[in-house]
Amino acid sequence: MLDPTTPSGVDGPASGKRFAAMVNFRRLTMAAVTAIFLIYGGLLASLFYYFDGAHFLTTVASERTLFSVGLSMAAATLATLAALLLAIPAAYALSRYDFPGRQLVDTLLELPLIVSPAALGAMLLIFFTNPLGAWVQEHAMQFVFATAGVVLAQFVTIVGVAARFVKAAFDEVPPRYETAARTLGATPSGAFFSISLPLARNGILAASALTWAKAMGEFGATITLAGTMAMRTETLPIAIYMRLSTADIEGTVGLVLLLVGIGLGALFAARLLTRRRFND
Amino acid sequence: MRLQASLKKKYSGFLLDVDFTVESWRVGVFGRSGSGKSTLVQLLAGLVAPDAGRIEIDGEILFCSDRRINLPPERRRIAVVFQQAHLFPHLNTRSNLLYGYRRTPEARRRIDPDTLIQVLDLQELLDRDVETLSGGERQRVALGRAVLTSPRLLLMDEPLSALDEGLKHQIIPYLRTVFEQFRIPFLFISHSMNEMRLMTDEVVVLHRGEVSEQTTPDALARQRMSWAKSGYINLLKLSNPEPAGDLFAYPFGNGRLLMWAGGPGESVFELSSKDIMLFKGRPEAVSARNLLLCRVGSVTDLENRVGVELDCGGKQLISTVVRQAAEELDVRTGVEIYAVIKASAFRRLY
Repeated sequence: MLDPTTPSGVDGPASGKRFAAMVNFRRLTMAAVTAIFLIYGGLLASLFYYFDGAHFLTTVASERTLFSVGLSMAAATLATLAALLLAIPAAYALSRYDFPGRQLVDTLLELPLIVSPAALGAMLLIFFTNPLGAWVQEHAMQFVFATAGVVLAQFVTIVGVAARFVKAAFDEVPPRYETAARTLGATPSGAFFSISLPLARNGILAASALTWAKAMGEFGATITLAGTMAMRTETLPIAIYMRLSTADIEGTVGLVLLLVGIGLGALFAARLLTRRRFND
Repeated sequence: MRLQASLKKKYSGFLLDVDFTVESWRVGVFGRSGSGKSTLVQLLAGLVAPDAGRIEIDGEILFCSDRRINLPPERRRIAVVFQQAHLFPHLNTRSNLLYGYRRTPEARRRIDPDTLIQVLDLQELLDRDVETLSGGERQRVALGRAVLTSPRLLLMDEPLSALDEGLKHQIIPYLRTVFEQFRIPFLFISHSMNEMRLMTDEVVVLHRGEVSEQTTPDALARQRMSWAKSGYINLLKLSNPEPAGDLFAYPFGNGRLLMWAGGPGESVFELSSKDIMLFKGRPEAVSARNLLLCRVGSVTDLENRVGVELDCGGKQLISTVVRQAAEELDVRTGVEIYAVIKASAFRRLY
């Protein structure tokens, strides 16, 4: 229908322009996606310039590397388990209850994200020089420049982030299911274990994989607290740093590829755990 | 069942302040949205703590602000059916049904799951994923799940309002059977007058957070006919129809009613007071299929209309006619009058 008061030409080109603007906007955002892909993809691809199959195998199969991989995986697993043990109940409380100081704790969870890992490691190191820390070192467990320090450094780095991720998983579970469970005779802990936890399961598994991958890659706090002792505290990221500092490019490439492969594998596993949808 | 509740709860901009005692097994809580019905459910179930007051059921105190008693929901033995079924998505139908049953101490279980599954017609659904159930099926499972906890009181918070008209009336017979068979007292919360009349014997009316009256559903319906646009809805419970050509003939008083829809056993029909025409003498021939000789009972003034209570062979019907018509027909208490109703005017609810 033509409105005689509107010049007929106005509508067409205007909406045409809008359409063009939309297409350009879409292209612009897609270009950004491509740029990000090229940055990471390019970095990975450039590794292959120095890739040497035989050297890769000898590097990876060396006793020192295997120890680093084993230490990293074992420490990351221990740190992740310990972190989840604390993060799951804490995340539930942060997701469900209102209490004084909630905002403060919620903000502190991101401390490891905003503070440099080196600073976090320094804080740990400083803690163990004060009387309480020294007491712990003497009577409980040795952390400074010790293998346990690797686990502790990773744990401190990831526990806040783990709580943040797990909280997101609980936030996605509508509280109405717990309410229904309570009216059916479930105690608060009963409702948690039979309803909230299973419903948040996928989110928690995904959070675990991400946290584990982050612990695997932890460098700054670990090297500051636990040092760089080969066959004792040398994790895979530290091994990369050490290898690079001896100018062994091919060896470094091998270790980087190994770390990237392990990390991407964990993230891919997390991606596979699809998100549950809630209808009612 | 005897429930005494005296409760105060303040929200910003809303105050619930109620005090009532109910003793029937089938109690309705009626009110518009925003009148405090759902808040009342949450307070009774223990999901929200009142600011002050007292809740007592059959002599047991569930909440008392003076004595600092506040039983948690799981110890109140009050089950709730919500507007949405809230079935647990990670459990199948069977596990949903038995969720509360498994948490009920054996000595207190008095409802057999198998019997209930039969009454609610759930056999086919037991192994289904709850995400695949239809709205009506979900609500039946939610009802079964609540009933299986053998509660001393069942709260139903608008359990039918999320269902469409047809489905609603399919669920009502299930509800009625379950409560009759298992003798469970309930509080039925709704803003639907029809649901009140089909489900309850006693109604607590909430208005802006206060109990405005406590009455029977029929008395309430009559009161409201003055401002209800649809007039008064006559609800007729009829049974054992006989075929009459294309129609169904239901015994009614000392005569019978002919209508389009019908079915075996007992059915409930809705008939608007506006669809009952009144004649002073016996009309010679009318297209409408039902002609009843009735005696006028009470006559109520409703602004520009008149509500006429009719006694038709021992059965009550209410008709509404405009004032001029009532004057011309000389409608007075005690006079005889003919009521004419089309066969199509009856709407079968279930």
